[in-house]
Amino acid sequence: MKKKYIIGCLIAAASTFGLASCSDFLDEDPKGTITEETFYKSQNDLDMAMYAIYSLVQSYQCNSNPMIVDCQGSDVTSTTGSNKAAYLAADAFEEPSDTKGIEQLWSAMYKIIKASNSLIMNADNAATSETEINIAKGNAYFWRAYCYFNLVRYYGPVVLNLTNENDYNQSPLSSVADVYAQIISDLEAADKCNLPAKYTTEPRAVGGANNYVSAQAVKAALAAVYLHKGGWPLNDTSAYAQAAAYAKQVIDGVNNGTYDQAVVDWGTVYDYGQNYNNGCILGIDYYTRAGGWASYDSQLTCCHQSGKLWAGWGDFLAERYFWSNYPDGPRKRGVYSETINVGGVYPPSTNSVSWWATTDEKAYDGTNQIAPDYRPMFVGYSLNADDYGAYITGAWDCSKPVWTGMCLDKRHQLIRYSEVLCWYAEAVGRGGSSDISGAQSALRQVREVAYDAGDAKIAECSNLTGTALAEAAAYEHMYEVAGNTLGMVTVRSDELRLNLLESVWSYRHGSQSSVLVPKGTLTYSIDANNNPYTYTLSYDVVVPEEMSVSSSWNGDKSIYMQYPPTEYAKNPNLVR
Amino acid sequence: MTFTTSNGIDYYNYSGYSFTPESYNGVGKGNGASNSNTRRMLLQTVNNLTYINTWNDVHNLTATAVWEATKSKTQGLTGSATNLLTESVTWYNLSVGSTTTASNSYTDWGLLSAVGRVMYNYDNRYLVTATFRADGSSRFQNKKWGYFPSVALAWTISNEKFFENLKPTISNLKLRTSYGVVGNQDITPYSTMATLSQTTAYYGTTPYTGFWNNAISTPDLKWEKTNQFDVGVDAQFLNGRFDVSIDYFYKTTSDALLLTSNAAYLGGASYYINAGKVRNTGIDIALSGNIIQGTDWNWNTSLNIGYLKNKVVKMTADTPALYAGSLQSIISDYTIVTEGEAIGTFYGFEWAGIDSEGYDTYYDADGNITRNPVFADRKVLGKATPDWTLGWNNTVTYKNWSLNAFFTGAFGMQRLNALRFAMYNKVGNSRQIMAADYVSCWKAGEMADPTLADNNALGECSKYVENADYFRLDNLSLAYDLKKSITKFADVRLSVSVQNLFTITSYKGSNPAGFPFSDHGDRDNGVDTGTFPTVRTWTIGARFNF
Repeated sequence: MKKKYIIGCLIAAASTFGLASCSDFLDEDPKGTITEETFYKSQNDLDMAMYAIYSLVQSYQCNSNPMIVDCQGSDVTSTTGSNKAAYLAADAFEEPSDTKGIEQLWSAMYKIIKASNSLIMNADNAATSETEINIAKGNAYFWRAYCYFNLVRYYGPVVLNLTNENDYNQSPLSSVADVYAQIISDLEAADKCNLPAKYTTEPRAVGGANNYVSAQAVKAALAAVYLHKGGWPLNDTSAYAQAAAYAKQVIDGVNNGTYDQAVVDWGTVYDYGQNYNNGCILGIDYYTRAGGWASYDSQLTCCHQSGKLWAGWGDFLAERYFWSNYPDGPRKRGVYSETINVGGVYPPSTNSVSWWATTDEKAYDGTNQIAPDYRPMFVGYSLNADDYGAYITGAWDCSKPVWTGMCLDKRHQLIRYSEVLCWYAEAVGRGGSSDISGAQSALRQVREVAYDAGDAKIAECSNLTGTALAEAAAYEHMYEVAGNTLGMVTVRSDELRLNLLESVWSYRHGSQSSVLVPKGTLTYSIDANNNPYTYTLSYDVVVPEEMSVSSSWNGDKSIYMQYPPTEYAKNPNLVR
Repeated sequence: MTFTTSNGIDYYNYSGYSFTPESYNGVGKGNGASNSNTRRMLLQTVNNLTYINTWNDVHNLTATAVWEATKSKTQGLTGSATNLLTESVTWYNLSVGSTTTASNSYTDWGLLSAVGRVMYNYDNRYLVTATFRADGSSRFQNKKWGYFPSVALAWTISNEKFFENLKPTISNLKLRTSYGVVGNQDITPYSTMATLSQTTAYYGTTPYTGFWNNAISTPDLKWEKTNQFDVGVDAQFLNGRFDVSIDYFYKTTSDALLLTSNAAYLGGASYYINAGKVRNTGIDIALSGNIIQGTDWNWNTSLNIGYLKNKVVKMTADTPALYAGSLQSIISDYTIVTEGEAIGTFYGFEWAGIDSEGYDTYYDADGNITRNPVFADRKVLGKATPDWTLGWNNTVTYKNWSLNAFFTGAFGMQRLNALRFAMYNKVGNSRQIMAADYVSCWKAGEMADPTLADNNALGECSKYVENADYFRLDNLSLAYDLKKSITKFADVRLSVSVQNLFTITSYKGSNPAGFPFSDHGDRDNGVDTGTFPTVRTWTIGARFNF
């Protein structure tokens, strides 16, 4: 009995004290993780901090939700009768019932800002060369400025978070002027970091194109920001001089070979086979796999096409009125599908019809359309498919079927060189510089590629000056970025600074009785046996958008997005 | 005096393999394979020292001291490959992939407890139990230890001298009351430390791992405490033929471990705080008895009824309300946790019917009817936690036959039928209406006109919050015993039983009480996103006792 007692005690003692006597039994040891104390010390730490910022940038555009707010522009609308209530609310200048768009844009931007703040505050501690520290800080300054540029254009006055310190939900809103001042300060700091014009190692360069922010990207962004500062709501006309100056720095750099950028033809701009063409100054790259749903997959590939025929999301559909005013030429054929392939997913077909064709050659009555949604189609995000459904590369071919895949690493083009040329022309036209001939030449470069050879618009460039030049350049920019809701400056952004949003609302609120396609236009169609044929329109096509705009115009409240309600619940200062 | 030690090892090793061929993803969409392994080792020791003694036949004392320690370590390893150059190896050779990645994981936690308990009773009439426990958890930083006392008193009235005459009728009568504190430390390990969050960016086919500071350090987080007061009475009648037990409890959880988040403009990081108070009060009644106790007939029944009232008493100024977020982009912010409401309260728009043009309409905050309500128009629509729950078991025997029926029920709860919303509206990319009776619902003015292109159909709406009270026959079984004397070789029991014979409910979905597919089961309970229907199962059995 006693022996068992002793043995029992010994076993207990061994087990309990063996396990529990170590004073660190209850200590947590998070093996495999890193804490802030040991970070930002070496070049590798800086690289990993940069990869984190770029991961957040990738994830911001991995799906279309943060770009829902761009539906407000006159180029883009969305699918009615589905779960696109958030998109349609922006399109119709309404406060949304579904707040996912305004919430996700807000939180995506501020996450990038938080990571950038941390890098800017800590990068100087790294034991590495001045050049590398400048590269890290320059990139971080740029992305912080980019995010605030988005926030100020979509929400107006916003909270300026520059230090990540806890504010106990009391931060006030900073005015639009203060936010622009911060954006410009950050971009000028990035400019002083002297970022490289061309990166060479991965992932700073991917596919031979800059993935990280380059010197020319910073200058191009400065030109755009100053141009916006000159427009609504600040209307600071002295900003046009700076806009012209920075745009000129980019143009001169391209002309003397420092910056490897060019104006590329419209077959190349959205060609997946030329994904890394040098027409793009700043882009976002993704994972090369078709299929996936992670934050590093771009799900945008089927956002331009309707779901009614080819398994698209139908997130960003083309508005008919904007298309009807869009000038013809290779650019229109590269931005919109000239005719729409109605073969469907399988079997493949080359039947391609005009979007306004009807089965009975009579006016549209809601049931007799041939092309789905009875509207033109953007193709910037899409690809063609071969007979087996696999994607193919090349300029958009409207006779080929549409690829139905959702994810692919088709480059998101944030800033293109041709945009900088438009910005220069406009800034000069608005009095920012006296280099009229340089501005006319810049506009001409864009038009030569956008219009058919011999089009009057190209020759017209030599005669445009002053306001006429500025307006022509402004509209040229809108046509350059039509449908590209992923870009830094979208059509909505241009309409914001040119104070045109009220007229956009007014058109949609009104009778929408403009003629979209005039009588007598040649129409490609298919008959009841799916044989292609053509006919001549016997009437004027007049069709209002399905999404009716019944809201009233409330000035700022119609233009700017609502602050996310969950943010307002925390910080009551977030109110317009 | 006895000393007991029990020591345990729990080892878990799980391996998973997956292979996705290109024919599954689609031409040009790649293939992939992965191997993963997770192993966990949990060690536990419980040591118990007990002292029992009796003096003068009336004083009984039991004193116990317990010392427990638990440690768990989990490690994982995953390798995956994409763009396999040959598919014949499936998942057995990851090197065949043009891109391979590997990742691993580690987590551990520990728990130490010391308990001291004294139980004293005088003559089996007056009973006192006092307990004190101290628990230490590794998951907190500065406040690892929590202290939890409790005391219980009981008076067995039936053992009193003055009760002797009543004993044949009331064979047992006991009054009890207790008050105690229990603790909760169920947060993710390491969540109080500001570890950097890991990100992966992919360019081309190469992953790049980054780190950024998305966590907030909360070193002073401590144990959540629940104070529970209970008073109850047990009574037994007619020598144990009938049993009644009634308990009233009042529980307040304070310093509740609440996951809150920063404003999104500060990065929106989530972190735990001790804040908030939740109260649960209720009554539990247990009745059982042999209603019929004859030579041939016997009917034994037992009924458990519970009443529960749950209320969030206090939130914080930082986080006055917690919303559910988005469920597959179909419904969003459909539950709310806020002061004055129960956990699992539905939050959404109040439906105002179909208007003359066929649109869904809703009430706004001022009571007007609108087609496009905004966030501020939301209101509380119901709750998922039932007021009353019951379980009722009956066994009737007649000679060799026996019949057992078990009923369950819950009352006073609602359920958000999100599946019905998805079936009766054009949601998602397919924009199909899948309900067979849609046209008749539309003609009856219950559903919107499907030809309308811009109808604003919302799922977090009173139209889809249904009453989910139910009463169900969970199990019915009939058995017959054949004794060995008859069968000559064994005792045989033949039985037929059916589960889920019927459910009486007005809920239109398939199951009024299923589980949600959600990470926040307590808050988002009660949302029907399509549970597997409860099946009715018939079983025939024979049991042989040799």
